[in-house]
Amino acid sequence: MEKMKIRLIETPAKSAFMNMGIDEALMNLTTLPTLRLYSWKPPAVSLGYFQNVTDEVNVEKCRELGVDVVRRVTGGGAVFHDTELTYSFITKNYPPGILESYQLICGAVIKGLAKVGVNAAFAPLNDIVMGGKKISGNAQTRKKSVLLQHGTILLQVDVEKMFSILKVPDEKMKDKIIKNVKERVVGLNMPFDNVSDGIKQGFAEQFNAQLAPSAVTAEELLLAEKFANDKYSSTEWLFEKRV
Amino acid sequence: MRDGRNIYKAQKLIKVKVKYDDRIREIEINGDFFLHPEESIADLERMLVGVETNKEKIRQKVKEFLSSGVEAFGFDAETMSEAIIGAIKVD
Repeated sequence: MEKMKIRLIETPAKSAFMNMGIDEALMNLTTLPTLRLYSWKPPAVSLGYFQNVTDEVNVEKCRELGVDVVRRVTGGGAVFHDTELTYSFITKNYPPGILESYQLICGAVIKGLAKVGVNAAFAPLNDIVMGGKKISGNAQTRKKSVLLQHGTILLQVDVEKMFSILKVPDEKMKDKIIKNVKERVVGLNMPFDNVSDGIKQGFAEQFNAQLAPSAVTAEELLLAEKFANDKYSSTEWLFEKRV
Repeated sequence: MRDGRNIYKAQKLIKVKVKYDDRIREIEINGDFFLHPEESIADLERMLVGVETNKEKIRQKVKEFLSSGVEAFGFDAETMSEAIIGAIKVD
């Protein structure tokens, strides 16, 4: 039997607005299950759909450091995207249960990490851990029977820098929170390309699929640019979720 | 009218800001939870405006919302109503 095909897109590092624009454009236009591997330039903070930017992020500090701030279409928490590999996976064929679909797609990431010698495990609801420490956070949305899951695989973590940008609920607790995050979150400390090769193999194995390398089409790029310009880089989208 | 705030840890974090007297007058629900479709959070907030500041009434409203075809991941009717009532000081 012929293996199913997963379209594979590897894009060079892009701005937060284009990264989110491409993910949403692919959700609208791609027909095959699609795996995209990417990174962020400049570094960026992405916020979950339900988060209030002024509660979570020091926007002034981000401007000062040249860090983009973007709100995602997916729920979940704020993420500082610096030295990491980000993936997105778009498919029309997924288990109806939310936990099951996280398990399935995170399972592909976990198999991929095993290819590079990392023994990782799914940690419900939406994390992947290595030796009990978080190495990956994942978030998904479902629109018009299409599922998008994107997630970060941490390569290096600078907790001090992260918390110069992200706010904590109680400033008095900041040192304790930083200490706690240092104990709970870790980077793989591996080169991007190695991890990326592993992740590709992991998705192929998990879905018994053949990867078909591909580029973003002109139509997808046009739509992605529209989302980036009109939505993701707008203050209306960032500061007011009721749009 | 009084202002209330609460940060509540369910499976995910729920952050509530509310203006109220004997009823909820304005409410904003934030957090790192998941809800599909995402835009429906505005429906929940709208449904809660005008509801008496009574835990049972609030829980009923959240239940009604969650049975309207939306899918929550990281919270349920119990934890969401706890988060909301926690922002309201009942004399």
